[in-house]
Amino acid sequence: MSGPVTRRDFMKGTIGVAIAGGTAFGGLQAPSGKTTRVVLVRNDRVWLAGGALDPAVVQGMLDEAVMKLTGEGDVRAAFRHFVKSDDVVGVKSNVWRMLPTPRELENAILARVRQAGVPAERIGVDDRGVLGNPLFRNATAIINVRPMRTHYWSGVGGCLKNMITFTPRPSDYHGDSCADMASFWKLPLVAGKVKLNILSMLNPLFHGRGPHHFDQRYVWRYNGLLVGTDPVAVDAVGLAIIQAKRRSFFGDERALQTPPKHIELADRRHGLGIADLRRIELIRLGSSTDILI
Amino acid sequence: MSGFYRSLPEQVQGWRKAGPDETYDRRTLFDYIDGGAELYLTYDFRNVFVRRYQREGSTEPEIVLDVYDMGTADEAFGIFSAECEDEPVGIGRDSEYGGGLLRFWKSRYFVSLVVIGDAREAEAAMLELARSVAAELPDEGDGPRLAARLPRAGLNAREIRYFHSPNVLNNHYFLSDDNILGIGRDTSAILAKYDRDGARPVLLMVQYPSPARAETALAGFLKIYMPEAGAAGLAKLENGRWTMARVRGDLVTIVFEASSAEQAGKLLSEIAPAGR
Repeated sequence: MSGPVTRRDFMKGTIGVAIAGGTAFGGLQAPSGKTTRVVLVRNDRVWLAGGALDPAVVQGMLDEAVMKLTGEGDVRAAFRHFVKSDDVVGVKSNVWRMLPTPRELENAILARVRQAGVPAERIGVDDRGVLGNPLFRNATAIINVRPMRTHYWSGVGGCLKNMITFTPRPSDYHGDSCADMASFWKLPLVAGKVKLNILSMLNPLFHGRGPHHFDQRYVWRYNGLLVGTDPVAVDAVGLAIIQAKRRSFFGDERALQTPPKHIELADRRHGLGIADLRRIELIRLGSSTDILI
Repeated sequence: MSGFYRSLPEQVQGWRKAGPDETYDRRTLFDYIDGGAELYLTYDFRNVFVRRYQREGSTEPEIVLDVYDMGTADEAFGIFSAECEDEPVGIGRDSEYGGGLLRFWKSRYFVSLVVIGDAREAEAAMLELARSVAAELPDEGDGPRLAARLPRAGLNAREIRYFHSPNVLNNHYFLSDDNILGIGRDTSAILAKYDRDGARPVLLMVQYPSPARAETALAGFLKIYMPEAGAAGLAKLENGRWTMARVRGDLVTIVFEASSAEQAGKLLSEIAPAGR
C-alpha cells in the first residue's frame, strides 16, 4: 500500500487488523524466511488471596516457559542457554511506580541465574541507574524483564522500550512516536548482550489516562508471562493481546493513543527481530481461559 | 514558587504531605512523567507543581497531586478535554473522577490527583483535597473561543476535544496514520460528537495561522481522503455515511458520519461566526 492509511481503508476492509498490531496467527500462508519462538505461559492461581503474587507459582511459570523455549527438560540446563558461569549478568527491570516489574518475578530470575553457576556478586538488578552501574557497564549477559502497558507516545511499552535507560537522554528517541526505538539496541552496552526477554503479562495495563497514563480500571489480571529471545516478537505478541483486550473491553476497534509502529519498524527498518505474527511460533502453556490469542 | 502553591493544604483527612514538593518545566517534564509528557508539550504547558500525600506510618497508598500551569484557560481546558471520559464531580470549571484518577481544570490550571495503591482508601481524601486546591485557584477564562462556535443542538458536552496534535484527533476519531490536515502547535482544533436524528455525526474544526494555510490543508485532505468529493467537498463513503468539508477564512470545517448530505450541510451551517 502506498500513501497514508486512512479511516476509509478500514471501511474498505483493505487494512484489517494489520495496522492494529500485526496479522493474526494461522489462517494465512506464512511468508518464507526465518521464524522465532515465543512462549506464553499462564496460571490462574498466580495471585494470592491478599492480592500479592505467589512466588512459587511465578517461579514455576518462568521455569516452564524457559524449558519449553529451549527444549530442555531441566531448568538449570535451560538457563545455561542464556547465562554462563563466567558471565556478568544484569537483570534489566522496570521501576515505574504505577506498575513495576514484580519483585517475585525478579527473584525467580535471580534464583535461576545463580543456579546456572553465576555468583551473586556478578549479578545485578537495575533500571534507571544502569548507565552509572559498573555491573551493567561490564555486563556480558542481560535478562530483560518488565510489564506490558500502553504508553501515550509509543503506543505500548514492552521489552523493546525497556532498554531506553541505556541512553543518556531518552527523550532523544521520542521523535515520530518513538519509531526508532530499536536503534538503542545497537548501543555498545546493549548490542548482542540481551539473551532473554520476559514480558510480564501478569497484570498488564491496556488503556491509560492522565499525566501518568494510569487508570486502575484498565489493569487486568491476565496471569501470564511471554518469554522469548527475540524482543520484537515478544512485544508483537504482547501487543496483539493488548489489542484483543481493548476490542473485548471497549466493544470496538479503539485505536491506541499512538500507533505502536516501533515494533513493526524494529523488524522492517532495523532488522532486530520478527514482528510478523505469521513467522512467530507461539507456544501456549497453562490456562486458556480468556487467552485472547 | 508562588504564594498560591504555599497555600495548598499540607494535610487532609489524615493524609499528610510526604517528601519535598517538586516542580518541573517544559525542559524537565520528561524527568517526571514517563508516559504522557509529550501530550502536555503539544499544549502551552509552562510548569507543574507536585506534592505527595501519605498516611502516617504508611508509604502506600499515596496520593500524587499535580498542578499544571498551562498558560491560558484555553490550554487548561484542552488538556482536560483530551482525555475526559468520566462523570463530573463538580470541582473547578469541569472535572471527572474514576479509576483512582481525579482531573479538573480552572483558570489556566489543570489539576490531576492520582492514587498509587488502593483507590477506595483514598477517594474521600482526594475529593476533599481537590476541592481545597480549586478554592485557591483564580477563576478566569472560559476556555477556547472555538468551542463557543460549536452548534449546540445534539452536542455531547463530554465529547468536546481541543488540541494541537493529530494524535489527540486519532485517539477520539481515527482519521489517518499521517497528519493529513497539518495539525500542529500553530493550529487549534476542536472535535465534537453529536447525537442527531438517530445518527452520530462528528464535527472537526481546525483553525490555521492564515487563510492560505487553511486552503492548502483542505486541498490536501480532499486529495487524500475523498478525491471524489469535487468542488462541493461532499462524498458518501463506504459505510453509507456522508462527509462534507469546507474552508472559510482560516477555518477548515469537516463533518464526518452524517446520515445524509443535508445533515452534514446543516451542521456546518450552524457553526457560529467568529467573534460572536
